[in-house]
Amino acid sequence: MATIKDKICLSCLKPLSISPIRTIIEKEPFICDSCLKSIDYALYKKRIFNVEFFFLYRYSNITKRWLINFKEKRDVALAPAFLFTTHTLVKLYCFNKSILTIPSTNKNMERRGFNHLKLILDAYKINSYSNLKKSGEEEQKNADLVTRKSLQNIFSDDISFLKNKDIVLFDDVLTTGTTIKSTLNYLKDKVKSVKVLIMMDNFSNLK
Amino acid sequence: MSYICPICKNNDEKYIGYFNSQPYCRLCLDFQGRKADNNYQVTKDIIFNLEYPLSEKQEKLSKDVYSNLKEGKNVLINAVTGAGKTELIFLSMYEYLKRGLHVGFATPRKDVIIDLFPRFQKAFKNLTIATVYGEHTNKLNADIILLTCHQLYRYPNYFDLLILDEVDAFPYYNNAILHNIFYNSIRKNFVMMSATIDEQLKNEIISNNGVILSLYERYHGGKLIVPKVIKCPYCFMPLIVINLLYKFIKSMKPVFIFAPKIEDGKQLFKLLHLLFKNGEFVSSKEEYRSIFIDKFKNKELDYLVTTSILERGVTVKDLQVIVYMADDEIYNEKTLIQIAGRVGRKSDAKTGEVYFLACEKTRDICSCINTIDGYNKR
Ligand SMILES: [Zn+2]
Ligand SMILES: [Zn+2]
Repeated sequence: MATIKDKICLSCLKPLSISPIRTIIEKEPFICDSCLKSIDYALYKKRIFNVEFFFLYRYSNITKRWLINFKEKRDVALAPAFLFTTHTLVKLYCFNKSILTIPSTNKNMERRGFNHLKLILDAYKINSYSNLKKSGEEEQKNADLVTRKSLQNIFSDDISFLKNKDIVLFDDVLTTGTTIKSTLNYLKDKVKSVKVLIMMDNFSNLK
Repeated sequence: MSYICPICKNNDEKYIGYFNSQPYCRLCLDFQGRKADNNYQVTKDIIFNLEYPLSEKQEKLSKDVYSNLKEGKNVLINAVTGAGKTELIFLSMYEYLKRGLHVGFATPRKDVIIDLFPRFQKAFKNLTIATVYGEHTNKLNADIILLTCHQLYRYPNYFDLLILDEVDAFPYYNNAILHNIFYNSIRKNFVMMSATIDEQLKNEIISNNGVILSLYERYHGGKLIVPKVIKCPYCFMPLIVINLLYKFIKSMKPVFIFAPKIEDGKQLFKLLHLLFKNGEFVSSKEEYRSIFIDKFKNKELDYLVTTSILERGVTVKDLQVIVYMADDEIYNEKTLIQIAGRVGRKSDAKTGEVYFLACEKTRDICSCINTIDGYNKR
């Protein structure tokens, strides 16, 4: 085990301690061996809502902690941690496809102050679109019953440029899947095909 | 100029992140949240009374503490276990409160706060007291604030007098972030208290314009209890515990049995529970521990098997102590002194017994006994 001088692990903030082989392979390692070891990988595909879902991790352990610190405590420095071991895989999965990030409500977005999904992808220069929007309870409450029924809570500005594209929807955690379901509904007939890439699986835990 | 964290004073670039190009400290992310109101007005008409009068030595020391504070000095009180440390600072608290100043009492452990709260309320009957720890953070402002070291980040530059009890206890001890947060919350003076001080602490207090005041006598004038060591192989230890426990229960004396790790404690308790039904196991992971401790204090339980979580603070009349596997590496001199200090604390029960069961007499066991002997001779 080698400890790299003056460097700390991005995740546990302890001195960066990694196996010698990694010092050769990686240009700039920034997560320690013991943090990497506690990642719970999922790496399986599932058909949900008649669409292919691909999961990277389980919603547990260190990846869950990262997400909470990242989103709730605004520790944006953690952004490169999420796809540290899986960015190549993500690039392959999304090859020749367009990535659309799943929207948060304006209220949540404002509270957080940043688009967390875009930040995670940007850390590895993975291009994505954030054209989808989601109206929160606030907006819906103000509408009368009839409009509320017809009101899609997913909307967007012009996405006609995605018309003939294969789409990968990207989200952090799948729990109940309500937002994804309405997004899939919204995109129907607007794009060529849709798959879903989820970082952490909390959906299977619930079943 | 480089960024310095307002909460923990960190300025090491390694631990600094950037949010929309604004720097933030990554070391103290757990210390974010609601802050207390710095303009809180303290009730100045105070009804102050002590349940028991102080002993002569306590009286003198408590006046010494205040006269040093008045001169702008900080104080480290080095007092043996059962010296009545808490009562020593009531006078100073009273003097500060009377002038409308902010007073707080911090300790590394939340159990100690729960235990001390009634004693503070009895001494300061008409004042409001907030207890702030863990999830218990609804009320941040009051005349007196009892809180864990973790919660001090909610009080930047707030306290005119901040008392830190059990300075040498986990997790405060050797934790740079908690240290910085402590100093950051002080507006004027502080008092630190401990039964087991070391060179590092002495140097710290002296370099902080402080003085050390010592009290080597228990408040009731009785001697500290010197532990008895029973040397035996590990396989026989449970048997000896059973024998001692039987003896204590027969003479109706409550017993703490300390075990080094949660697993050891669980196993030992499983065995003891077969023979002695009226006991429980407590550890930091046990969510009902405060209920068990209350039951124990009310004499509804005969014994508690515990990890070192109960090494400090909790006071029970006529308590006897058994330390199972006292030669385990987690028991250093300080811990053993604290554990032995649980016994003989009440003026109507000055004596008691402490047994260390060990396969071999470690250096820490020997130095613990020497130190206690030394205090008794002073
Ligand atoms: Zn790490
Ligand atoms: Zn900080």
